[in-house]
Amino acid sequence: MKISTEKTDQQQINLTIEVNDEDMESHIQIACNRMSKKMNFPGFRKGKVPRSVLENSLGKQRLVQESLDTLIPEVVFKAVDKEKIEIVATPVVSVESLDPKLKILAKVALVPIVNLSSYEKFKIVQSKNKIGVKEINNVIDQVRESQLTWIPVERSVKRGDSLIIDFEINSDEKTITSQNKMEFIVDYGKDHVESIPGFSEKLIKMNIGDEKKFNLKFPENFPDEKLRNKSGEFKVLVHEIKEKALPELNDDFAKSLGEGLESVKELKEKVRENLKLNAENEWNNRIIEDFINQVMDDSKFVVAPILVDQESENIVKRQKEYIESRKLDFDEYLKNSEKTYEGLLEESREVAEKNIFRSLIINEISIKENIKVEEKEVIEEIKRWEENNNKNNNISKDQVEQNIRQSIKDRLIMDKILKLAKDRVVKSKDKQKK
Amino acid sequence: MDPYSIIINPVVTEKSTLLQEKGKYTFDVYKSSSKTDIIRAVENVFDVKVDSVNTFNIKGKTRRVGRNLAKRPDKKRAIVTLKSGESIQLFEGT
Repeated sequence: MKISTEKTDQQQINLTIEVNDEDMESHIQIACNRMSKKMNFPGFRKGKVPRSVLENSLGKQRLVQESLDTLIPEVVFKAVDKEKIEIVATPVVSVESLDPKLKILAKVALVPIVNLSSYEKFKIVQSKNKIGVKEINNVIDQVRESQLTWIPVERSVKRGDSLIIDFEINSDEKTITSQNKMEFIVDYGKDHVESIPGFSEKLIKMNIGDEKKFNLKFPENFPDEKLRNKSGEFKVLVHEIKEKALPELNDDFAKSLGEGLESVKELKEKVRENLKLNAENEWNNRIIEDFINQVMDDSKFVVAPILVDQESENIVKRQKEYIESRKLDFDEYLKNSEKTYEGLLEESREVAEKNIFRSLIINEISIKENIKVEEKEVIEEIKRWEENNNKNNNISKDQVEQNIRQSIKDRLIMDKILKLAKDRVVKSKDKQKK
Repeated sequence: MDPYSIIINPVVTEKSTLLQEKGKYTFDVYKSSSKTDIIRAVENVFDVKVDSVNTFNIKGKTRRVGRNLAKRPDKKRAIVTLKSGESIQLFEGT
């Protein structure tokens, strides 16, 4: 095995490995066994085809190619071992040539260099969201809105009412559509986009049993192309008028929500608590983000390009899984959004880089701040896990322990970072009000 | 007789490849050729020395074709033992 190394300046080493025939021998044997099981060879039972026959009929190159699956990992790791390189992530391997000697080019990523900036001098300008009466009332209004009912009334139509109407649309003396007893909510104005502008407004002040005829112009973006910008004759008959009724804000309403609430006062208190908790969480997240971003901007990283490539591939893969989980075809999606797979990769590179930097920073901080996981805590956590999952124990205990340790560590690190970040929060002069 | 029309094709099967290790090579041969014909043909074509030949006839199987019976052709097979040290490179598969 001949190895030549070439170091690039970005913590990445290109290894060119020339493999000897002796090293390949055992792997070719494995490949032969596999192929003889897989292939249908007349005159031989499956799995009984001798190597010489395979070699004669398929050629040696084909055998070498088949053996690459098992050969590459071993050879590359041997080479890495021999050269005494400490690597992260899986090497990216490509085959340079098969004949006469197998030549492999392996790109290996070295441990990234992080030059963590000292974060002593950072200042974080973020303030908590204020919670006032207005915010609380907003939330309560939303809850009431979600439980509204429609009550029939006997008066003329007002904005916001729900109607049951018959209507007919004619244009160029042809009936385009006519519907009976259709429900229609009268609304117009800035927040509401009508499919035919002005229709709602024409209904105002009609009474039950009234019939009305009027002309309106179809808008430019009307779904039916033929009707765009044409005028149509509308005929409307009102059957019923219903009024929006919000549940009244009283103790009964509070009780009806469940959750052990007894009065409006308690409801308000509860809403305030929730909002406070949300605001606190959100504020924590914001200062952590801010802190990490500042560290990121101020630190220097040397990361192998293949690491970034792999991360961006992961991102695209996750995207693909997400799309497929919604029963969509990924290729179709690419076509519709006029993107290519390569384009997506390119797009996600920036995010990938950020992700890597972020995890590097968190890792560095944990080293710098000397964060260790208490053994006692791990054991406790495992006990709790075992109690919850005593039935299906097909995951090995080691793995669980590792996961738990990792998650505890993550939590400790995030706590620490939050503390570091909080120490650096400065009250800004111009408080951002929200 | 022309040696190339005596030897029809080499036989490549599990059994025949095992025999090859002992210097025995298997061929399908022309139906009415004699052992001496085969010896002469093999020596001529592959440029080797033959020790002995064993032959046997294979009856063609009968197969149904619709309502009729059809018979596959009979053939003769020869296992040729070479003198020790000799070998033949067989390249074609069947």
